[in-house]
Amino acid sequence: MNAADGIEVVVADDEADIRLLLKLQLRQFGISVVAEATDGIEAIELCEATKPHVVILDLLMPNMNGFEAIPELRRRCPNVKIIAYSAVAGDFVRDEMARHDVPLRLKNGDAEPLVAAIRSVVSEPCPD
Amino acid sequence: MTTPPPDALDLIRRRVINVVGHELRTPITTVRGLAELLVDADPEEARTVIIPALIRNSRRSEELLDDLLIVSEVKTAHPVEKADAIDLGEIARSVTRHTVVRVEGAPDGPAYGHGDLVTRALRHLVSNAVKYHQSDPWIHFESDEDDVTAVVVTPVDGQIDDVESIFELFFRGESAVTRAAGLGIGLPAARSLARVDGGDVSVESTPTRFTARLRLPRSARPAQGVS
Repeated sequence: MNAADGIEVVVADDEADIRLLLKLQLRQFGISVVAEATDGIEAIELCEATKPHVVILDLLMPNMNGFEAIPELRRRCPNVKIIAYSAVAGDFVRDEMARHDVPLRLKNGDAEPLVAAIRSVVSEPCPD
Repeated sequence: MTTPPPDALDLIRRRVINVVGHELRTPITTVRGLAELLVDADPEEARTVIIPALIRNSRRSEELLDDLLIVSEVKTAHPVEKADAIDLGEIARSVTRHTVVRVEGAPDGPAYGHGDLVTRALRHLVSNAVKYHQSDPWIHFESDEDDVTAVVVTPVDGQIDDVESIFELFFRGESAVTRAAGLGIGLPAARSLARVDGGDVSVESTPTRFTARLRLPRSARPAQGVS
């Protein structure tokens, strides 16, 4: 896929207003938020149910955080690309995301870096 | 109190800034993003969705700043108004509205404090309960001769070892703060806010329950632990 139109994403973040912001911002780029999760467990369930192209994953969430969700998402939803979207990105977070080979974007008001990351991961081939 | 060595002070300074940055990033990100969306927004969506979210997050930034000052024991964030008799039951009902948290019964009399500080303290405890509950949390009330207490009970799955450490946010490294969701400013702020009015927040953890108690005096009592 080389166009943003038609891209479907699941947003996982325990902050309702971050989910709202992403939904409105991504809509401007032709990207649909097909489901919203409030923790890692919901993110996995919703990715299994909706089969999005991408899941945008906050790292700091209750019940199951993003660090725990990544290996489980890879196992249960291998075709769903993961982008970590975090309010913190110190050495620990950067090292962990590099270890998992997950692109990391820092939360800020500018949607374009996130959209670029979404387009980039969607253009990569899936495992099957 | 002995002064920590320079390296330890530098570590504490960086950890404080890390926590502050993390806490403020969500409302600031949201305000900036939503403000930019307003330019081309449908007027009805702007009025009903975007502007209310802007107000909500601006208010949240303001409260976070006050909480950070209070949790850091900076007295400039204390209210200049005098404390007064407050209805802890009414505050509990207001902060649990539209949440899964139910309020059982009512306190047997007024407490003494600043209504806005107590509301913020209880909102932090309720927010924690909403995020971590395994089944519906509830608030009930306890009292004795000196104090009135709101008890927030959250059914959870798993016990927190060394539960008192959740109040020590500034002394945790990035990996601990990052991995342990909920170890933000909420509980330390709730305790500091209660202490302004001579009250306190305490917590207990068992394998199936997390219990937070917001205790307030029945009459005026000096603030605790505030420089």
